[in-house]
Amino acid sequence: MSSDNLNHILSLSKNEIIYNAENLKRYKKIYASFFGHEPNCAPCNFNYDFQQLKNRATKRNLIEVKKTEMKKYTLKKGNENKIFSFRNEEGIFRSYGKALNDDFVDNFLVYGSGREEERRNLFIVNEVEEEVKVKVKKSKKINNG
Amino acid sequence: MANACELLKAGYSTPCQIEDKSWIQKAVIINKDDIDTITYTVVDTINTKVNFELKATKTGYAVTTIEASSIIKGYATKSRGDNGYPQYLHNVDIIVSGVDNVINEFLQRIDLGLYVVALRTNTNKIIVYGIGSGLVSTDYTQDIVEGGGTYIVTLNSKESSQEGNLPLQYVSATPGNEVIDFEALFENPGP
Repeated sequence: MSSDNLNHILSLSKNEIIYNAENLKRYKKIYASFFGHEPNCAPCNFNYDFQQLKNRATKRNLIEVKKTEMKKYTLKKGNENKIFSFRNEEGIFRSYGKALNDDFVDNFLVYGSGREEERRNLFIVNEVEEEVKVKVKKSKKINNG
Repeated sequence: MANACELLKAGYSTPCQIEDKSWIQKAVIINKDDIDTITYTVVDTINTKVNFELKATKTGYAVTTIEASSIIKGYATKSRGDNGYPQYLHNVDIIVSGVDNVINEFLQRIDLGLYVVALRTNTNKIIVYGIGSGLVSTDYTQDIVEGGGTYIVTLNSKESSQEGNLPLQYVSATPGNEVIDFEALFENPGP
């Protein structure tokens, strides 16, 4: 069983598996490889069995877990469950604070609703500040000789 | 041969474990007029899902009660019009309390407007009532004695303009974001 095959099956919906003979066959085969037997009445107990399969695969680190990372920004505490949204020319996008990524925040800061200052106040910017070159005036040596 | 329009294409068996059994006690009420675009996704002829987007800066409004309650719910009744076509009367029950000016304002707005209501099942499916023709309030009695301080208000399809579909399942423009759209009250942040 390949990891791609497993990820593909786990990415499908219930209907896409149950009502597609090929997918159902693959699902049963994958299930059997984890539990030693095929699911008992696959359509009847599908949700429970499917979740069990997901849990088992996660434990074995076989699922590609999508990580959402924020490097550029840090969300201030207390906003993890807040819903952030913006609308650009492509449509409306929404995300919980705990699932934000840098791209989303970039767009949110530009296209989000309300005052920009309030939006910016929700984040700490992690960018390294450019070094400020301080011009030091060199004192002229005065030659008295 | 008469025009059957549709043919049955598959059988159906109820699952061993029934999952959709209750509603999260939160209804999102949307002014029908605030809906900008409606997109129907036809999965297979009459198997349809719906997506909608509100006008800029518009939002839905939440009506909630305690989760121990089961008053907030949606249901539909099928009948046939005079021409024989099936029609579906969409209904949503909400619960309110009080007799003060705040609740009176809310109710009178409900009584005068046309609405679409989204509900969330215990399995996180978002179901939309009245997306075609809207819902209006039915007759109710504002009585805080009989119901322990609360009373039920029902929004349903107008008898003369019932829906052509059973209530439709909502699908987000961003796949998988149905619940977050619902929790965000479908607000369009604009501009």
